[in-house]
Amino acid sequence: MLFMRLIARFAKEEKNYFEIITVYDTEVVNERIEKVTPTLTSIALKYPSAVWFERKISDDFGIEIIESSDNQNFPKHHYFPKNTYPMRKIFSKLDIDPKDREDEKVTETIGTVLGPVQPYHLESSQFQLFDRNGQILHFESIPFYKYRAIEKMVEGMDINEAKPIIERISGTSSIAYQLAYLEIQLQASKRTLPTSLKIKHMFFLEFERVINHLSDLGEMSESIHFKEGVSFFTKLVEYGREIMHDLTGHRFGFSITNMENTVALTSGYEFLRYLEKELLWFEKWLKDKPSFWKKLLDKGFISKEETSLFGLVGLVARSSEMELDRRSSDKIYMDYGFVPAQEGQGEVSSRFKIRLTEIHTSLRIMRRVLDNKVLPFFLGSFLDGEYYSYIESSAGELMMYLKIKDEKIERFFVRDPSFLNLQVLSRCLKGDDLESLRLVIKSIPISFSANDL
Amino acid sequence: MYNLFRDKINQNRAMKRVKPDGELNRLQRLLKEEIKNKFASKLKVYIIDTGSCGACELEFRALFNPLYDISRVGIEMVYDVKEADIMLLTGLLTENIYPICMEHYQNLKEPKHVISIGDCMMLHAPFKDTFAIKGQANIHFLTQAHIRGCPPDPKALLRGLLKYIQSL
Repeated sequence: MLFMRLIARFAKEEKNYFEIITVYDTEVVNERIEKVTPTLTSIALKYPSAVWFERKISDDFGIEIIESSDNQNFPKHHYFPKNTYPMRKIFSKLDIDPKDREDEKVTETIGTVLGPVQPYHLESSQFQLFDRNGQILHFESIPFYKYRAIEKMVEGMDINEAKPIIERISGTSSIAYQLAYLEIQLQASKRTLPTSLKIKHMFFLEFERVINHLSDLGEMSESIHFKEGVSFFTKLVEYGREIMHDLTGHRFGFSITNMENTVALTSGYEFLRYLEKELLWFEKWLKDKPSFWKKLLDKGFISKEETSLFGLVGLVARSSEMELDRRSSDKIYMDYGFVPAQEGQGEVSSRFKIRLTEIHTSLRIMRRVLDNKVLPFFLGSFLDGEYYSYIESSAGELMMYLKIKDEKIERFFVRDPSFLNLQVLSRCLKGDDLESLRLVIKSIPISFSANDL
Repeated sequence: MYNLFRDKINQNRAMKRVKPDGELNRLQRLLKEEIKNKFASKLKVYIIDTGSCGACELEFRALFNPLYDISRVGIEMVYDVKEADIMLLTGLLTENIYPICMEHYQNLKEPKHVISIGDCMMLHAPFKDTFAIKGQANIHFLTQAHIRGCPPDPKALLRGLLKYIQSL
């Protein structure tokens, strides 16, 4: 039997039963579970990445997972009263009485609590590290550390009312989130987006990808003390954000799908030309720097087999010889000459190179989009039903699900690429030296805000 | 080689727009003076993400890029709150992060300078109150200032910091 790729696994509550929805690349499997002592058989033996999905199902709905190697609660549950499951319909409290909260503290750890791996961004105890003589033995990241309950927050909202929340799930992937949500709105209103508008959205999605890749390259340069690289990339990021502001009125492109009619994309032309020219010069300059490449070699290795087993997505998968890019099946992208990038080594250097290649691809597409005239477009009313959408964000495949009932949101679920890619971090760090820790983490595009929801 | 590299960046006409303008120069100059007078030329800043989308942190991070380069005016990031002069808070204040945030707040040396950043902190962003959200930052911490925006851009952050330091 052909191996199917696991995209997501989540639950929703119906009147008399729970429904488990397992999304594979080729099909969606729906499974009913009775509400009295609900149990679900794990699929983690075949799909290791299912563990996190199943732990989430267990925390959210109180469904017992059987035959699973890991049944720990996620931290979001640590302060919850016993037998309280936030995603059940019966739970609608705004507040939980502190007296009802569990005394249980965050699981005690024996390992070293790591210092700030991502300065300015993360509270350090989101990571735990175990090392011996400077070599990483085990690394653990803790999901749902800053749990905001967004899935619950949007339940019962109007479709349009939830939009500003969804576009702020992740600041760095706001455009990808907006487009995934728009796709669902289109399906629900039985409308088709005019091609000109699709092209405009493609432009901004690629713009977001370029900025995020440049930002990651700057971070990676910083983690190996490559000052010229830091200076070069961060300045380009700043320039990119300024142009994004000129074009959309916002430095992160919030609310781009609200923009009406024509947008003068031509003001971005200078930026594209300049960026392309500078990058070519930089890459040529970098070629003669073997000491630089040496610092990226043999670190953070992920094999093709692991990539497939864990269902990794985005440039992490593509740098391990996997042909996995949603854009390849998009006619508009193909019309604009899209060619998916691929690398073979599966290590940090591949993830550095693939970002550069993808920036060039994005710039080429964006240049061809310029001067595109955009026609006005309006969404109609939304029909009840279940809708799925998929977007290739800068971090990888983003999957969104929405169930609409009585024109309100009945269930919202989103699977960020980080949810899959983060799970493999401990494996690809094992055996690496402590010094390369930040570099390896930075080489994998991870959004904790999107992961923690 | 490095000089050649630097010159190439500086000389390029297309980069004109990301060169410091009058306002940025003024902000940097005033901040430098204030930090020199009130913090002995070195202001140590600790930032904690209490449930943000990441945009506020990225805008703050941008202050250390070659354009804003706030390390030149004496602002330094520290990764231990005990060393910090100012603590910055970003994002929704979530129930999960609140105990950790409170621990950091208690470890901040006296006098405690706390600034909240972004609309989420005051629940002005579109996020709604839920069981997972603790509430407005200024209710749970003695915040002395707030910098508005979703997210505030780097210049707004500089203006906010300057205004606060001037008020001390």
